[in-house]
Amino acid sequence: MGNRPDADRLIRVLGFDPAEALDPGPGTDLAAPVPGSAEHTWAGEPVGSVPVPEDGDELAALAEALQAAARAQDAAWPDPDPAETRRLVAALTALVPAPECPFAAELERTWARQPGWLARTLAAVQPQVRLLERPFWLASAALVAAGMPLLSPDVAASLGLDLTYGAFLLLVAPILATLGVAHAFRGISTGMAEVELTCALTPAQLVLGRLFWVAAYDTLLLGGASLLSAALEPSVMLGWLVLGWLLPILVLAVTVLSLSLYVPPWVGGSAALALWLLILTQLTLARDLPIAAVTDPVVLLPLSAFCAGGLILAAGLIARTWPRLTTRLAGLDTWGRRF
Amino acid sequence: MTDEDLMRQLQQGHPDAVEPLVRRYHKPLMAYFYRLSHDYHLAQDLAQECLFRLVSRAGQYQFPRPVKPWVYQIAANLWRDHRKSAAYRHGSAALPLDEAAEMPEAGPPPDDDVASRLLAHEALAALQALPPHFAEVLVLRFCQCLTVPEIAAALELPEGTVKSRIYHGLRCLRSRLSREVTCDGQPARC
Repeated sequence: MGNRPDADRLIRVLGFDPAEALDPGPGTDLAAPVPGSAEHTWAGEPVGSVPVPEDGDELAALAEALQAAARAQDAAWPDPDPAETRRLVAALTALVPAPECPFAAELERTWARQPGWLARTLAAVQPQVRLLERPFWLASAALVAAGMPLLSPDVAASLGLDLTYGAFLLLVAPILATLGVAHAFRGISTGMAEVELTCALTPAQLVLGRLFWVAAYDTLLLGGASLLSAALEPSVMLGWLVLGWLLPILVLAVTVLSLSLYVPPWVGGSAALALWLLILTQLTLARDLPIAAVTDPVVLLPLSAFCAGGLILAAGLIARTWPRLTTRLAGLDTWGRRF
Repeated sequence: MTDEDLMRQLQQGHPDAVEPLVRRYHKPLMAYFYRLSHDYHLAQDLAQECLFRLVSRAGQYQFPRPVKPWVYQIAANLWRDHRKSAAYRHGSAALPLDEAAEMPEAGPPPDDDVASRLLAHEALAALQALPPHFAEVLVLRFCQCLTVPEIAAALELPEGTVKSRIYHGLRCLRSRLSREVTCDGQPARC
């Protein structure tokens, strides 16, 4: 049995009383976790009654030797190469997780609570309503509402316009789509950018959510106006008319969006609209057709071919930035570093 | 600034917290892995991998949980994974003591009954020849200066088990070193 000074030395160097160490018993695998209950003792005796082993002094000396050797080794250990440390820090910095955003977390929780994909989609789309702001809703409605009375046969004739209701809708549709998309994605110069960056969605989801509202609202306005046109002009074929304005909405919206990934939305919108008008002019006026002929299948069919080409081009432009669009937004820091 | 504050900053996305953490833990982690592996390049790789895991898992950190045991928990898991790997099984699994002395020269050991008969690097080198569950607790306790609760947290073991392993590990180490010194030719048993 060891003496008290030996015991104190061993306790000091171990950091605990060896009597507290468990005795797993002969033949027990020490590698296996054993219960940490204070009821156990390594000699099968109650805690505190276990004598210090005879080799306590040697064990203490060995532990001290280990500590001293480790300290000496630490002192002699060369510092990591500064250049290597810099490289390591740079590599690790790129791994720093994006900051947690309470708004995004709450949005995600709300989203996850929705039952079914339709409810989740609507929950993702709904916040975009507020982001579009009042000018979008009012200006779009005002454009359609102001145009319809102007184009009544009496007023149009007095203004010298050779336009039908249907032709008006086909002309106004691309303007609505262009202005709507350019406004919805009006960029980082507005306060909307900050809201966008705290959104828990990926940019692709955000884009689809906002495009949905632009397209849905324009469709609602022009759909109503088409029904009105059909009522006022019985000669109008409603199917061709709807196709006539639905195509430009789709094509212009996607084209403006794809161009906005590379240039400011207003630049992209103006370019897309100018190109659209050029194509329309070529298909009508250059062929000695009145502008009202845009509702005619003779114009609509080649126009559809141009639309298909435009969609393919826009899809290519979007595909080039797909990794960015599918990266989750999480904060301004993330934007600054990774975008 | 404490390790815990730095980890919280890291969690909040502040990249400036990376460098202080690297400066605090890179060298100790290299020393930890070297003491277990006696392979400088492996220690370097594992230390870097450990830091990568620390940063990439910063989101899992729960402030104000102590960081040091968490770092060594990652390190211990890495070392266990490495030991299970094919490279370890087919390569450097069993370096004899006299071949495992690449580490920087240690200073003179204390003038004592056992220690005075040992070269310091022999004591450290002998750690590698111990059963792994003993080696890891002895390195953490006597070389990396972790407390018993910290080791228990790092290895996810009860404190009683850690104390038991430290004690029996020390006896095992003494037994091996005594046989090395006396050159009795018997294989060391713990």
